Amino acid sequence: MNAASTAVPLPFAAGQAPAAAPDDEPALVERVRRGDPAAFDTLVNRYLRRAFAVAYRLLGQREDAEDLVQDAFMAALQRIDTFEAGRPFAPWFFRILVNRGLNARKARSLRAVHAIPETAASSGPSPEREAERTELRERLTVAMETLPERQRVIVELFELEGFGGPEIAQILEISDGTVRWHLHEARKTLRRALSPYERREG
Amino acid sequence: MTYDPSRDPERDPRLAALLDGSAPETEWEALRGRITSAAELPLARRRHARPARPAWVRSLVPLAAAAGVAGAAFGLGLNRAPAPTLSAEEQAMVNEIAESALPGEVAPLLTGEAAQDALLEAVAGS
Repeated sequence: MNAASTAVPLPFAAGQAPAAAPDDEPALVERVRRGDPAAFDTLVNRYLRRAFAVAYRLLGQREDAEDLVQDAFMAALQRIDTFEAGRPFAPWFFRILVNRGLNARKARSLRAVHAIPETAASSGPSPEREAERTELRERLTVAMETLPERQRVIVELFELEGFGGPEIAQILEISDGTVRWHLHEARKTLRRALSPYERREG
Repeated sequence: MTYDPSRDPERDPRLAALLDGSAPETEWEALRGRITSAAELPLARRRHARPARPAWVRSLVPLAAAAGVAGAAFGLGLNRAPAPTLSAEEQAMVNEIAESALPGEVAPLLTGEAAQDALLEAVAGS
């Protein structure tokens, strides 16, 4: 990413929970089952940005993320008859997206490329402090790469994309308890990567 | 940091801030257009497809097909045309030939249906 690129704002800030599923979704899904293009377009528009953000975290390349998003929406359309009416659409759809993303990553022998955030230009921190912060980010990024894939995906979905534990459990088809355990283990690893810097600060 | 398996942990804003490599800019309308264009044909197929039946009805289809095949096979068996029978005249002719041309112990073996046909052909050809 070059310095001039502008990050696309997510519909909610990182670390915040997304809004609850809209009430019109069961009716929308039923209309999609009957082939209504307007209903399908509404669902696409509703989840496109979040889907792209998750896809980008999984694959690390803009074009690959776009392809994955399109692939996931088409797969969801193909399987719409298997979607259980009354359940929330988002976990079901993101399960498709995440599974396909993980398969694509495996197939290409990729590990997620975590974009290192650019340091915000500010007049506050000194250059030394900024350099330390950059180094900290890089250490954390490397630490993320060492996590087992499932833990990495859970951290990304929970900490960065704002999915709740139960949602992640539905997406990955594991129990809530397993999600919490993985989060706990992943944080231990990531905080270990941060600890030299925390000792310096302390 | 205490692990509580009964509830989600609090999000760590520091982790989020350090890890947050936001997605790059993309052409949202173009991507949305690509997806909706790709979906046109599958959606059109759905509009023209027969209405979906409940799952319990769908499960009857293979059973109904199997029952239909079995019924057709049974019906074909019942409707099988009977083997052609000889007229009284033809039967008399066959019996005369069999009794006069063949030894007594062989003749009864040749008075079956296939034998009657074969003998008729032989008689017709002579």
